[in-house]
Amino acid sequence: MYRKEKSIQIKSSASALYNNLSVLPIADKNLTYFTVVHGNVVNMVSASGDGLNFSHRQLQSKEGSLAVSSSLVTQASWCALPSRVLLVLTSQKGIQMYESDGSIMVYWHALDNPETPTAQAVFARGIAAARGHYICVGTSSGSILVFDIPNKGTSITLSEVLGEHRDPITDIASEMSGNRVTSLSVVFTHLTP
Amino acid sequence: EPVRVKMSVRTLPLLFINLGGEMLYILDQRLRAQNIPSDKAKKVMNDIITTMFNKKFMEELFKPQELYSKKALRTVFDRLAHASIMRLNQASMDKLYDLMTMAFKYQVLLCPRPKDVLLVTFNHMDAIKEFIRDSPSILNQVDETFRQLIEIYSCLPAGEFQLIRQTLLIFFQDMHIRVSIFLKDKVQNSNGRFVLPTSGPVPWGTEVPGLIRMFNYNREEVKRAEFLSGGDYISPLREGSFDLYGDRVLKLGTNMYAEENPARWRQSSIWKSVCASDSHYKENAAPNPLAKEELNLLARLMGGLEVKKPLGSEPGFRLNLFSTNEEEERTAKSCSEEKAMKILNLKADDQQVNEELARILGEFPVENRANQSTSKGDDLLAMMDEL
Repeated sequence: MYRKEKSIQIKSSASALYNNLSVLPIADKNLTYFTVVHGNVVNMVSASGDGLNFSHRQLQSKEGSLAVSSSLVTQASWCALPSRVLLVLTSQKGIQMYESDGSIMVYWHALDNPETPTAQAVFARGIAAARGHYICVGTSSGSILVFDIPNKGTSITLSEVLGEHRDPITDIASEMSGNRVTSLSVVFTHLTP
Repeated sequence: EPVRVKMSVRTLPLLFINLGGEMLYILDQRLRAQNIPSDKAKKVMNDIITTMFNKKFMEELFKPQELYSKKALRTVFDRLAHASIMRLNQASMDKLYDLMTMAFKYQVLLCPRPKDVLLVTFNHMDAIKEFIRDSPSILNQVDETFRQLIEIYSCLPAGEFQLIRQTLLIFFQDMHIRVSIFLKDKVQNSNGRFVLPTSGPVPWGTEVPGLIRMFNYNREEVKRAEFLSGGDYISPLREGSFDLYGDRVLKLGTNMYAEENPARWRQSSIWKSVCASDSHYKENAAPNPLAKEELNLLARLMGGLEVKKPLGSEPGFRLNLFSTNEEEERTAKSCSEEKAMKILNLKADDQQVNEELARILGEFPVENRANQSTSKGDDLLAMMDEL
């Protein structure tokens, strides 16, 4: 069914997370980008088509636009929109968006952290591009943040907050045509409606 | 300890109880291997279990909270190991902790489903109850905690258990200490990574892989295809019990040191440790801004850890996690060199943390008893050991 090809060594091991491998093919440069999350760091490697040349980069989880954070990254995923590709990182503190090669951070969104510690952890998780110029990101409260992405530049805005789920979002996926977005959270099996 | 593992806030009780269980298995085996008189051995086990399941301590533990840092957790276990008349020197304590953590890491990794970590916990609890079955008052304490575990965890959804599993695995990430029994049984490779089996029963509630089914828009099956999974899987026979008593079915979390063949444990090679250069505590450039909060938490927790002060001249003794005293000394020497290097690399922040930790520990003094040396033949060493 599958044939194993050349292996690519990542700088450190993969953390136990959902969907912890994101891939971006760059057809016109015959390159492929890979990201794997390790704790509070995202390991990025770009591999040449022949599998012989590699270039590594590491991205850190942040708090605000400058500070390096110790909070865990929950997911890293590329969002391919018609006009641009962004690399999105979700963590326990918020959401970071980078240019596709991870070189510049273009946007930071902080999660609301409750004053007193709750019985539930707080984090963002679940990333998908949708309908041409939106990026959807899920949260541990079950809400989905919908960001409006301009063709270029950093003026990204939070457009909408969807509140259909009651449980932490596990992941989000969208149809190729971008018209339909599916979000999923793992639901209580004993809960009576 | 820079990275704060905050994902699930219900992980700490499971982490503590399972590590405690592994610790008791190892201590029990070593007490017998060193021919410690059974009344003394029993006292040690009873004292540690009593301290572990102390009501106030358990109350603190079960509050929804983040996991402790590796350093803080190690401090708690150092304290727990010395809750009785038994003493461990630094090298033996290090080795004990390595064995404990790698064993539980192995169990978490090999759990077929995330919820099975609860069965692992119950295996440890069942064994702990066996250790103190002759002491009704301690048994009562343990049963109380058992009931609390059932109450809190039985109804958690699968997603919450997956989060707990991920939280635990992230806590154990980058620990690759080689354990000789694992190497010998070929469940761990020489690079410290565990072997995932490709045969055996699939998790409860899942099917043996090999079938692809395709459904249309109306949820009707329209096509089937088969494939070879490359593994040798079978259906599970039955689910383990989540009740106070019952067959857990899962073997993970049972006492791997109490096997049919006790002669195995007398081989010195089993207890050979590899003082790996993989560090216990990953150094990182980012400072730890939550150290103060952690220290307060630790102080509260330690307050619940009552340490019995035996009256009179009950002689203490030293437990050795190595097969010979010479080996223990040698390991202590080489490990202390490594530690000296680590101390030199500590940043100012960490130094402050260490000072505060020392202050907190100072509030809970370890009793020092007068020494009584006995003949080597009795194998009972009473030593003045400083924590």
